[in-house]
Amino acid sequence: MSRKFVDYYPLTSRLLEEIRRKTLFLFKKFGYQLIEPSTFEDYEKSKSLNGQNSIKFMDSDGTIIALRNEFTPKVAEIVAKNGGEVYPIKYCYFGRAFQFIQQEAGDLREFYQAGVENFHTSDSYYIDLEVLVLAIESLLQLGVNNFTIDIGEVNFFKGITADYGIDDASAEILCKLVDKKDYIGIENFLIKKGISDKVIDVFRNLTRLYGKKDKINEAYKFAKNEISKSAIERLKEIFNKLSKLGYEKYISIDFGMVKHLNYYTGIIFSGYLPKLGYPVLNGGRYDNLCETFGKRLYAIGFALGVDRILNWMIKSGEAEANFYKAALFYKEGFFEIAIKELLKFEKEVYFYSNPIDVQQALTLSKELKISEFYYIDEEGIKRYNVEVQK
Amino acid sequence: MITIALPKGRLIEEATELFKRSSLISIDISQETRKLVLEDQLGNLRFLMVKPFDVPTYVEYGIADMGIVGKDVLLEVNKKVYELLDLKIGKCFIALAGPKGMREELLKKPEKIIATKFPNITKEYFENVLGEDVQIIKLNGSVELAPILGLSDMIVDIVESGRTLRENGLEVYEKLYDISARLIINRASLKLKSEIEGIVNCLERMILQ
Repeated sequence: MSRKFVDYYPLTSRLLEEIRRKTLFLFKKFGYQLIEPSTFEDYEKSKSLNGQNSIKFMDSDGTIIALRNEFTPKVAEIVAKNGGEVYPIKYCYFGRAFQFIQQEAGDLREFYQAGVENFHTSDSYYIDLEVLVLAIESLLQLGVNNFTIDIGEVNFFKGITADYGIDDASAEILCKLVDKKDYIGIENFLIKKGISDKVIDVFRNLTRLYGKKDKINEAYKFAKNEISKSAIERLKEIFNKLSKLGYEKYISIDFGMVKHLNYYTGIIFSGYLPKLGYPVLNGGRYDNLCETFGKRLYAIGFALGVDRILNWMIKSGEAEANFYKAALFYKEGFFEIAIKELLKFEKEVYFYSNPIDVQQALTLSKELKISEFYYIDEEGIKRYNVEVQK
Repeated sequence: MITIALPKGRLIEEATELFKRSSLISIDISQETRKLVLEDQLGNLRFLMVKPFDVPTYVEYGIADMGIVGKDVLLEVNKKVYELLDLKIGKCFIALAGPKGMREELLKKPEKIIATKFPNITKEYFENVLGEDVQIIKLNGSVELAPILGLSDMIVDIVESGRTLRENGLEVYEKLYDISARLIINRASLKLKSEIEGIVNCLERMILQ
């Protein structure tokens, strides 16, 4: 059971702000413009991946509205309806999303997401690359190391299911089993369908096609069709280019990563951190979504699970607990001067609202665990060092 | 170091035997009945002794990198973990069972009451497979008692030899799912810790022998 209310106290609020600043700074550097979509969406028309898990209300006119449980559909709708002169159109966002049931480890009822979406008029793996670079760099900028961005390509799987004449409904079930690497489940399911041992073996092998570069060459053994082959080519190209950029240690490949076959249309990826069992970042290519809003556009994006990163920062001791570095006190009768001095400060200081003598100021500074404070009296502003007791 | 969650109870001996035969450990885990955490220098492994139903939880959160647990538990709790290997130990099945000789009568009964340790599996089977709405009573053990004392009409439980059922005047009505122990792995660990692949291959070779 997860928390009923998600409150951010000063420490977590500060980390949240820091994550917001760093991620948006990076996204904007690549030309992504910030947008603020509505918190509400039309439940009946919702195109979100897990729409039934949203928090719903009855609107005054009797229709059902829901709190957004992700940003992507809303951003896609905005782009499809408003368009632009020059493509790619690049948008980024930072905000809260909501869900009714918390199904997995790391899930919260309300959670922050930071993400980018790139909309374009022709398919291009350079855009895949750009978005992957942003995924890697955003984690690096946030001070994470030793992470991996695990990359898959759903067309590899789609090509193979088409090859063996597996219908869409079965492919969807099979995709869930492959994604869980449940090869017994795959066996049982395909045996029931009367599919030959040779084919079952192919799908069983998919559960082991994860790792580094060598798996890309191994994948060719299972790709007898053009769709799967070009999926491998694409991943290979992406892997090589990212390696040239020096990112090889931050990426891994998984041909068995397949989810939401009717949503994702190309590469998909998830980011994993050490000591945190669940993904902190998910993304992928979704070339069919914009069409449902009336415009044919290619699209790719990702979202960072901000709370999960926050959780990792606190767990791994990355977060510094002390907010104040310095304090400002003043003697009775010097309030006006204190305010004027305070406004000149560049850094954040703890301004003690009431007048106080210098001895008490020292005691308070020790309690605040700060290393210096400023005191204002008839002699003007004076800086004092505090011996910090650890 | 790799942390492995092991289920206390019916699987523990076979599971530790598997690690020993694979030459992955030097200590005798099953003899250490009181300790909850055990470390082995040989393979740089750490073992957590937890209740079977808690194994998927420890693995999902990444507290344990991998775990051994029966498919019955995985079907019931449905956690996001990789199910990489069938260890082919602890084989049994989940069955719908009830008082001997009353199968026809009870399966026709309109408002059935089922006692079980596995409410989700039971609900899934009756709702999605049979299309029936039944009352489910969740118990934590000695489920065979329920139909004898009239708490329920039937039970859904795991059956190994069928001896407990027979000794209590019950019999299997339907076999629902085959069960065996699985090796489950945390999603992040599989991608971040290269040692895991070696352990998986080692165990896999042992199973195939």
